[in-house]
Amino acid sequence: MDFSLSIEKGESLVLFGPSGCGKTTLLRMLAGFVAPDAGSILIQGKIAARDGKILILPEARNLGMVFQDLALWPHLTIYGNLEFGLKARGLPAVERRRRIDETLKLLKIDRYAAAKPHQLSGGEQQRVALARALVMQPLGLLMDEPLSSLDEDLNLHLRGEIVRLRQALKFTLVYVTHSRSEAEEIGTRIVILKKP
Amino acid sequence: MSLRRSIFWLTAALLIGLGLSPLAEIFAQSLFVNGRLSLDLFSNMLSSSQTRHLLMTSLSLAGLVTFLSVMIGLPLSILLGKSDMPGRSWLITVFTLPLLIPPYVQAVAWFHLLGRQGLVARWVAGGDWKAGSNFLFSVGGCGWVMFTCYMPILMLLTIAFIRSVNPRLEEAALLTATWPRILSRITLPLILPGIILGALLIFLLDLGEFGVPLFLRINVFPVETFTQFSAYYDFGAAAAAAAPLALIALMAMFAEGLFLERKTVHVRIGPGDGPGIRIGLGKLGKWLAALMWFFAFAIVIMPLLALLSESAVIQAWRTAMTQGWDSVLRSMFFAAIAASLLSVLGFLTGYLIHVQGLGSWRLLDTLTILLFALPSTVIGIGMIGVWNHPFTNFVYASPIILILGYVIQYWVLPSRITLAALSRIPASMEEAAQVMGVSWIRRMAGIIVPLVRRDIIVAWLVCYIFCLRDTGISMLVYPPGTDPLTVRIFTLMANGEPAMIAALCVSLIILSLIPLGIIQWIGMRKGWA
Repeated sequence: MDFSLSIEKGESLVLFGPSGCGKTTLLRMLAGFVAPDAGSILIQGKIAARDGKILILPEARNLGMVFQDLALWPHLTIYGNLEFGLKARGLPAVERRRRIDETLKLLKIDRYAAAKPHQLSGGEQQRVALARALVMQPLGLLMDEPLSSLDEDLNLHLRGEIVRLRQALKFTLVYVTHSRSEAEEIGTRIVILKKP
Repeated sequence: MSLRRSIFWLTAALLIGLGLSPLAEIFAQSLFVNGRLSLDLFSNMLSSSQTRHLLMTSLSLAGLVTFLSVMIGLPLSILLGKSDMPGRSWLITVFTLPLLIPPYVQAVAWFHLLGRQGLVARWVAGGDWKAGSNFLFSVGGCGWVMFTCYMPILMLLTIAFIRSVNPRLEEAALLTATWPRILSRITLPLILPGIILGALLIFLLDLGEFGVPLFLRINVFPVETFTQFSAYYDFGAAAAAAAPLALIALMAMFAEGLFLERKTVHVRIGPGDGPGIRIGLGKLGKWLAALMWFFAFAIVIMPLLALLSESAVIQAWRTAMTQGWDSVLRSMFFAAIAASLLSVLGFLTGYLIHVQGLGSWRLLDTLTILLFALPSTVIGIGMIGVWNHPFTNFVYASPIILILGYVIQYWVLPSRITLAALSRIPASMEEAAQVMGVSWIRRMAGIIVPLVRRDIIVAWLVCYIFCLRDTGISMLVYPPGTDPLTVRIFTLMANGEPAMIAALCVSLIILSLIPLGIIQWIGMRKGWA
């Protein structure tokens, strides 16, 4: 697949297309898990990957990601899930608590701080995954079909939440979906990918 | 170079260095005579009728055991892993017991059961029964004992593969066919890699088995290797006797790699992935269960009862503890140290293979299997050649060499257990931490290890049991004054009281069961499955 794309700061870019067209692969390239065979990826002017080599590792790109399977750590509480990355960054405990409390309140899941992921509903877990990405205050947020496993009502509700949060926090978003309605509601720009 | 990559390289270097050096030493010693390249040792060996006889006996014995394991073990595995027969999990536990016990201890147990003055002789033949003894001290008897020791490997692997079959495939077939047809056309082809791997492992382990043939006086290559070294101290001849076994193991691993298309095979120890579809046996289930219990009683429980019965004399235990307590403590200590080292190295190797962290990950995977399949006498002889120098005497003359031998032989166990555990964890678990900026070490400590901690404990336990029961490496490399219990039992067998020997054998079994019991208890308290 030949591809060329610029993502502007603050925009909400949707990658839309059928299964197998390469949307997730593209997102994983942005995250730094996969390198492009040829060409380069630049993040804020710095070459992050080029011609099959990853030059800036995922941990150094300062991007947040919400995975399709959410990837919440079952052995940590909700608070622990959010704190893990902040601790690794060396933030003092007071600052960590402040950020986590703020983010949990924003996502309306503050009462679940001491719970474990399996104790929460699908929609609540989805919010936790989003909170975990946002608490790191990333340059941009990558979301890989985060609502695909939810029922229609919950899907609609959380779509609205994502739009609300983006308007409040003004983060750059790259969102992968195969749902036309999701793409139209969430994206300020839609990139349509077709199967090669 | 990142820390992750450095650790990968270090792990690979340790595996290749420690693992291949004994093999290289074996071939070097057998190919160089008086400093010159020579095939004399090989040509003497190959032209000798004794070598041909040894080869025939070794291959026949290994072939017999493999044949029995497949013919009996496969239907047993299907019954235990696929049907709704009552008491399945208990039966699996009982049939697995022999894996906890050193093979030659089981030979001792069978001797106390079928020997001329064994339990059967006392019950049935008025105290003197030649037929049982004649059978036991034959290739057939030796094969039977080794079958009871190694069949559980095929059983466990086959059951693991049965549990991994997608139930939807069988459900789809059930719409149009009956179970015999589904088993033969759907299930068996899907689990064939597990059966072949199990059969191959059993063949190679039998080829390298040393304790049982030595006890039952069947001369095979590993026994010849041991005799050449320990009786004649002819290192070159011992190496030459070990080389064919090493070659056969190499060829077998190459064939396994080709046939199984170089897929990694995951074995999960513990609950299956799901109930799957069970074959309903109806009323036949109870009769089959009774038959299986009878079979389990005959091949597992009776020999152990004979051993227990022989050891049921208080004086025997007193003498056993007087003569063996230091070896008991040493065995536990060495096994625990080796198991701990293996858990770390095996975890790192399993992780490396799982993420394909180095280009040589396939080679490393194959190497661990090869080292497990290599006869312990080959590894032992090779290690002596590698470490028996003045500047490495601190290793050679200390228990370090014993522990190194265990690490080399059993590396595959924690590696494969880790691999199976990691394959159940979505990659996104680690990626989510990575994208948050968490370093590799913190991801390992904070995410990966906690998620697989139960499997690491299982790996430790499996390694502990295998190290505890090891005979071949222990007998060849143990420094004087540091003999583990398996060696002490063998040494005392020559002129020790049978009751005392039986007591020592039972204590070895108890040592294996103690950590198993502790972990079961902890698991029950924590609600582990």
